[in-house]
Amino acid sequence: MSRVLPCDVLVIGGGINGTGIARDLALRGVSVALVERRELGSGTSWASSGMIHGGLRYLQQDPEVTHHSCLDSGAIQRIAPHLVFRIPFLMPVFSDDRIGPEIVEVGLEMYDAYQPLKNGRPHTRLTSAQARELEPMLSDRIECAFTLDEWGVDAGRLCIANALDAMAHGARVFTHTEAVEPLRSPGGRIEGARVRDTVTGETWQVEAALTMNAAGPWVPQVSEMMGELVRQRPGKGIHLVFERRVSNLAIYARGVDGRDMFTFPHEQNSMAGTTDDDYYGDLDRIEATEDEVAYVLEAMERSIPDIRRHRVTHTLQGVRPTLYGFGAYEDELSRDYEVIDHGAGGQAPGLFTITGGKLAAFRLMAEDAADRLCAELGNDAPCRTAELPLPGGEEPVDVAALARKAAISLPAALRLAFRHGARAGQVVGASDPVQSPARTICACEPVLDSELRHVARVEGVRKLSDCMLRVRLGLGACQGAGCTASAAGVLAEELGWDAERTIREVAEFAAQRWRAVAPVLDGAQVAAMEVHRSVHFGMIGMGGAVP
Amino acid sequence: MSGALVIGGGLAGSAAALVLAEAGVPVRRLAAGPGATALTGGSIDVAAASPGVPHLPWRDPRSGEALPSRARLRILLSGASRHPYTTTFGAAGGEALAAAFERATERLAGWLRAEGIDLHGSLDRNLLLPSAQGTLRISDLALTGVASSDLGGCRKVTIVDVPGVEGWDARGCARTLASEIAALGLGPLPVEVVRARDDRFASGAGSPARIAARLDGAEGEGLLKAALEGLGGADELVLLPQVLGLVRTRALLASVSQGRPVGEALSFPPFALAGYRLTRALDRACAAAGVELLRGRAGRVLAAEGRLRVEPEQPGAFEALEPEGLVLATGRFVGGGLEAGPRGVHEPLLGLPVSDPDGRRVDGIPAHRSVRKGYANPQPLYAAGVSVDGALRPQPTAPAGVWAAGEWIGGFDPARERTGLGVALLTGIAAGERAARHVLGSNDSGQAPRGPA
Repeated sequence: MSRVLPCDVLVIGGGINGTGIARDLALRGVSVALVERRELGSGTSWASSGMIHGGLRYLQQDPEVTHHSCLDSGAIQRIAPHLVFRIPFLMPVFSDDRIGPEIVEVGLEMYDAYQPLKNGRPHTRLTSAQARELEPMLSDRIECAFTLDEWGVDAGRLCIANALDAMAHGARVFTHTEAVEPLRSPGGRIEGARVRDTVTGETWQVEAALTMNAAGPWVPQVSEMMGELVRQRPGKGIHLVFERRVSNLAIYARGVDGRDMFTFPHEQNSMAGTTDDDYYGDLDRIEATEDEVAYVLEAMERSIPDIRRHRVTHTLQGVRPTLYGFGAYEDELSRDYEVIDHGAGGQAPGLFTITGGKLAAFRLMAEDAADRLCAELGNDAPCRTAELPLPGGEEPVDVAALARKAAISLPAALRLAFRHGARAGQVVGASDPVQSPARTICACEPVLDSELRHVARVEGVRKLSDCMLRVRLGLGACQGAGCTASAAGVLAEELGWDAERTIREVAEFAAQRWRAVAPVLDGAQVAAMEVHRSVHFGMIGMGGAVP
Repeated sequence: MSGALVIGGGLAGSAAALVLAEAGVPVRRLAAGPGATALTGGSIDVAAASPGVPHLPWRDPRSGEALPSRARLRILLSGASRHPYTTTFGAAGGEALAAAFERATERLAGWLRAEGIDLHGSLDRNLLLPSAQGTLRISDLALTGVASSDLGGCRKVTIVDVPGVEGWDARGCARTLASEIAALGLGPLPVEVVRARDDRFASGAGSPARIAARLDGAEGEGLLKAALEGLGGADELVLLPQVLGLVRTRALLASVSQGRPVGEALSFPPFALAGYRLTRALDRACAAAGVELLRGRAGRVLAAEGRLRVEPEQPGAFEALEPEGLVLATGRFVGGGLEAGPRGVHEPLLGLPVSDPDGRRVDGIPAHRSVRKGYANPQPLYAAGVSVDGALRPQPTAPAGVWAAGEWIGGFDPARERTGLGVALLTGIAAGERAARHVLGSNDSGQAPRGPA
């Protein structure tokens, strides 16, 4: 007899939609189980630009999307101030642009009206000389430039913060657990799902009054399993990740097809992107291709002529769960979202789906979805996700005091405070069993052993690869050459892994990094990966274990 | 300039320079930096093996007996047709290759001995060396520090827990090591972790290099002695991270060992000091032998009217050199012997073709097109280099008077096959010998350089 977990709502998918809905429901007293087949936020959320921007480019077609995004961007800044950072944008205008500065400025003036919603400053117009003083690497061909304000967020940690708060309010969150088939009543009602733990292989059941399909680009697959049809227009997007910050400001660039893209500072790095192309491939093996990489670099080169001199370490790639639309180019598709009740008109009462949407508006979308579920459950508790802080967002952190108290470096304290907010003190206190001083595991980020112990003990990390998203392990120039084995050792102790499992986790992590690096392997990164291979094959001796 | 020039500051380049100097040839060694040798972990693998890695056999499949390197060399020669071992000794056979290694090893040991490092091991006995991760590496040669952590003949391992040291996780090391020992049937060989009673020798240092610098001093040595007091015993290994001094390793080890084996774990960068020590000793040995050590990056090698000319990458960085004999030991991507960039992968000095072990060209092509999905797959890019003939002359178009050594030579994957330093040693010495014969021969006749001997 397999394990059975009864609950009110089963949420399938642990990205920003799934975790956001789980939190919202849990705060209203609904009992929730969430299953995520990989790591929280490891799909589209992680592959996004990590920007909670208003979407200047939706202003013309979808002013509603812009309004919602700006409004919710403001809310996210309130509830998770530690995870959010300001990204001032620089928009250069070239003499051969189709739209001249006057028209651009009209658009920006319209956008200024939304800025107060997200604590942004109004735009300014700079001369070419002023812009190049701010960012000397800008092309000398620019006619003038505009500034505008946007906000970045650690999208992975945002998912985790939502999940942690859901758990604190009684939700159960199961990572590396996939829904394999629906549980159906004799009347055809969906009453949860059989799920499978992909780490242990165990199959068990979640019995739920309602089931919410929040699987992002996997929504059509999950629906199909439940006997329902949901169409999407999946849009693949890639980002290039640079070894370090290329610029202080985000810089607009235009693709050969006229699309807007940007190079922007993100955490310790810069990223460039993104693309938007219809995707019909395997959702579990999304890889950046040579032509996508060339397309992005070509666009960036117009604004930043020497962009190719900067080292690209790896790519991010994901698929947007865009609403289905026929007869439009990818860029013209609506970024709106939809909550579907499969009981109304469909053949699967008890099942709901959320599809489409933008990261920036996740909280509003979750609120809408939770309202619908609560109405069905007869729960009339109000939504509180816009007022209550996410875990870590309760109060500001005195980083200098944290560094002093924990005897750690200031950069380490800064990053801890960024990822964990007010809980950073608790994180650094997760010391090893014999009370050693903090040990630096990854110097790039940096990551301390206590943070790894914390994410294993408190946050429910189950695999080494989870740590890439949780603590940004292995994302620096060395791609984990220096830290993977050390991190695996800490997790092995916390999670009781034997030697064979430990080496397998290292091998999987290394293989995962390789998939992200190989499509852009060039320049100095070729030498960095030469060292990476020597470490993993030569020293760690993982020869037989590599997947 | 008369005499010879060696380009490359790793083991291959230094060995070639030392051979030339000892043959009486005026020699300069030009190095842009320390090279990949400085990143190595403490063993010099002639023919490494690994339990569980199919392409690195260490047991005879029929008898189950452990194979020493001498036997593994025969296996290697029979399989890898473009490995530099095969290129240079394929016709002569495994015994000739082993004999060449024995001569090479003796010479290296001589160079290092004078600089405070001993080379331990032989082709007839496997060293079982634990890494800082607790995995076991089966090797044949190891340097002072790592060599004494050979588990052969050892009755117990005590791993010293030194808190807060980067790259050192004593409990993790112990878990994996115990499992490796069991899998290999080496037991009974208990592994225990002991917290250093007095960790002042390491406290607050963080990185192994800082601790090592501290232990080079008399005060540090005293602190380490006190910390190891009472640990281990006869045939009971006391295992440490690589902290036993940056420059005084042999003396420090002698002082703290006190009748029991004390050794360092094999490590990888940025926690490995063995490669730094090896590079430093080679530099000093070169200087002592009269090799003129130059720092700088060569830009290109030209040949006109039978004369070689080496120009700097940055004009004016050094005066152009016109050697009679030239050994190129510039390494792969880490060393700069191969580059990847807008022109694709290329060999920058002579513009030579770069080929993978199947003979396919990878030069002129973006690096990412020469890699395969699947991290562990054979990767053409990382097994590629220049081709040589049996006399180590670059093929097909290098000018006369030029020899190749080390990882610059393609046809093998140093990471997967772990023969990087073995190739460096063998080809470094062989290239040096050939260059010496060439220069001395051309001096004797008083003519411009002829074809190589």
